[in-house]
Amino acid sequence: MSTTVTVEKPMTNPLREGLVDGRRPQPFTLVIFGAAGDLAHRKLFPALYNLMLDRLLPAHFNIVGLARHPYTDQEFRQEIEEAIRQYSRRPWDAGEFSRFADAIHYVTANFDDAKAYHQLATILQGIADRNHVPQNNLFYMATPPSFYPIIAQNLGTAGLNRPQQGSDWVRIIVEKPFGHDLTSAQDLNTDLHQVFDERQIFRIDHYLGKETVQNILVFRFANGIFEPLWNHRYIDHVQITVAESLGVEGRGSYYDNAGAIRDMVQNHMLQLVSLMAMEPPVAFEADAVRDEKVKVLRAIRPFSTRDITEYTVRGQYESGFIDGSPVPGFLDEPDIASDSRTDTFVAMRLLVDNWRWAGVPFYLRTGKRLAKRATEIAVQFKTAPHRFFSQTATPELEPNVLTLKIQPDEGIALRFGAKVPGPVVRIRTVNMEFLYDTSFADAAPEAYERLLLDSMIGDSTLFTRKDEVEAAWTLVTSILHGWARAKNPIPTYESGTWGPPEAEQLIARDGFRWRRP
Amino acid sequence: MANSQIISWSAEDLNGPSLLHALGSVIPDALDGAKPIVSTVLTLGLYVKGASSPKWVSLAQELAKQHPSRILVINPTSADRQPRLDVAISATVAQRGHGETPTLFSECVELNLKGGLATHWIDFLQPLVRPGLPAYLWWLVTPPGADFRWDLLSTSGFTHLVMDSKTGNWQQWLPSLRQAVAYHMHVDDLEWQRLRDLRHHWAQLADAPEILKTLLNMESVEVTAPDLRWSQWIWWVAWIASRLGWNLVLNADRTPIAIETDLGPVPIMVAENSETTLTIASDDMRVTTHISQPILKSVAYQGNTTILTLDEHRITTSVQEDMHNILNRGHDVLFSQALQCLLAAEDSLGGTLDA
Repeated sequence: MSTTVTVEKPMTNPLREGLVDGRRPQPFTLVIFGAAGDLAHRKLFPALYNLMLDRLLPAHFNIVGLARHPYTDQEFRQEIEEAIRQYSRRPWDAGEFSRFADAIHYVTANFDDAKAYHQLATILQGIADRNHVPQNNLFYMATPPSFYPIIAQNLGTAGLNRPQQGSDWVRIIVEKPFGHDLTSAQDLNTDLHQVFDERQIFRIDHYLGKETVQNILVFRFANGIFEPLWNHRYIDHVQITVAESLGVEGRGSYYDNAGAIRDMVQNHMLQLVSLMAMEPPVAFEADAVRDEKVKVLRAIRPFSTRDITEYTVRGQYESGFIDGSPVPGFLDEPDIASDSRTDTFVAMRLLVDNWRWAGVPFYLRTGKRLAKRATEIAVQFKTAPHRFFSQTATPELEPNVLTLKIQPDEGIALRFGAKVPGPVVRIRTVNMEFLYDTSFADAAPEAYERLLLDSMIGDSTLFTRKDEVEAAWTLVTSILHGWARAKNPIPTYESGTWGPPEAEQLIARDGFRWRRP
Repeated sequence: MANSQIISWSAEDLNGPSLLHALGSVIPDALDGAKPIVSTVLTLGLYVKGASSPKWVSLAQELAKQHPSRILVINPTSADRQPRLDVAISATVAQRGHGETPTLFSECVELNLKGGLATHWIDFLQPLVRPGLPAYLWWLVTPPGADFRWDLLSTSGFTHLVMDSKTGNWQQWLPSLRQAVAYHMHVDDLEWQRLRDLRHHWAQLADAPEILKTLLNMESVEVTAPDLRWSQWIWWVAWIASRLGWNLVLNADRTPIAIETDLGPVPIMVAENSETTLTIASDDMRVTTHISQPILKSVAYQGNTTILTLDEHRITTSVQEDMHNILNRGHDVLFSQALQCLLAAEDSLGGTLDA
């Protein structure tokens, strides 16, 4: 066949479109700063290994670990083998690991050593040249936050912040905590933006990688029956609980500087509020989703000094019993200052001042050493406008509650009234329950698997944007300032309970009670 | 599944109502009267007439352990006897926390049908298909003939038809698939599942602008295989044609012989060879994929120069895993498009080739 017509214009790859599980990234090299640390061992390498087992990584991928600890490539691979044997969701397999290990390299360097970044640039160029692949580089900051600006600056100085060719890409993943208040978050954003564009920056909040958290959007927007009810006309109030039975678990020095409000509320819990309260985005696409989420954060009514006293509660755990075993109080934990005023429990009431949520309180509570581990969002609906069943028929009838169980026992439950069988009308509350693990056969991937894959593909929908982070910090910083001014002693609670009595009073003031998850 | 138990029950010479009664009572009886929560999310029928029954029953039982479903093994044995129904039920029940109601995860119901029940199995099955949920019919044997009641099947609750084009001469399935599609059933193919890594491999190849350009401007397609009954290349060609909005040209055996591209017809040359390969060529560019069980290896040449290589390990899957993937991931629209491409090409043969 002879023809003179050729297609010259670049176009999207039609063979990629519609592939089930077709989200496979282009060849890339992932550089993990802090590769010898806990996060890399427990989460990142196991996630990468599982992605490879699921054939979600491209044929050519490389991982360069960079940290201060001196390892040879071979020693580091042995370390990673141990980590995968211990922490991988899927069992270790000699053949698969051998292929995985071949892709791992290690560089011993200090994060502030400018020469190391030039050495890194040479390594990355070498990998691309050897494999005849584009130089797509993904930098992961798994280091203490104080190194984030230093690493970014050095990457920029070495020219590693920009693609080598037009079609290549360079991205950077930043772990939490992203700042410790509004000013430091803004400073960090400024530091990163001096080197990277916003579209290159992927701020991780691993809660967004959880299947059950992603299901909030699916539940709301893929079903026709819930969204018409999702507003102040039908919803009475919302309770979001993130309860942990664990204590600080060896993270004392970090936690004593953070507290529950920074560790949980600023990121995970406000993300849950955003997903629950946001308007439908025009598309399931990064900026469309994040535009709607940030609108919610901006609509949260700012706290006045009086509001902080009335509508926020902090607490600190004392000794007690968890699962029948004695546990120490917060002040007796290692690396905690004996006069620490750090919050290990926070409860608060938020109001979202917009058309949809006018007058609907969102109650948030989170804490360590609570009675059980449970994360859930409970939406309590208003009662029926008129009860034509007699009072005697409905003594136990509770309002309808829709509960999204994030962990454990992931699923959704709806509480409603049903007639008790018998000759007279009596109504009792019953539960209709959906459980993930009995309805779906496949185990859900770990949050880091999803988030790493998204960052390789360049999909930032599940990552937080600059304005989102700063809006969340604006709210949290105002509370922190209010608490700093307060001189009263921090309320305490016995380990193994549901927090200080003040938390009960906070919600009781509005005529409600906390749910028992 | 952790904390689960299997409850088994069998009976001979039942009728429909007694089977329904057994399905409602066997499990509570075994659980001391406790009625389990039913977590079944679909019905799967395995039509196994003429196939080796124990093998498929065991496969069904494995799927039932893995997937929340009601699985019906439909084995019409002989139509020339008195109607008779022999049944074996095995149910997987998951125990939840202490004091909580157990969950019926799945049931596997083996139905040996004789006499009139063997010919009227669709009517018999209707009450057994879980209402309001997807229902898959996996047809394991020779496709049904021209007189098959597709109208009845499609209204019986079965929403999906699953076949395996690897098991025989795939072309004989086309008339049945055409009927199933006409009755609004989703059609899926296990062989298409097995082609997943080849599709991903080619999608990855086409990320390279030179390869995409070669694909869009291709002048020939070459296929080699040790056994020309190998059908995966046909689905590969149909996938590419449907993705690019092109048409296929079939010969009288319903085998593709050319692709009608925007630039004109591209011949497809199929030859017997010890190696299985797929090649597209345009101008001085040539892209070949060598297919072997552990590896997919592609090489792109410009003239005599290698410009790209791509090696990937293949995923080996069992029939059970292939079926599990179909049940878990749902219908693949790309397969519908590839199938439509083949059906449209068959249409253009003039309807003279009815099965």
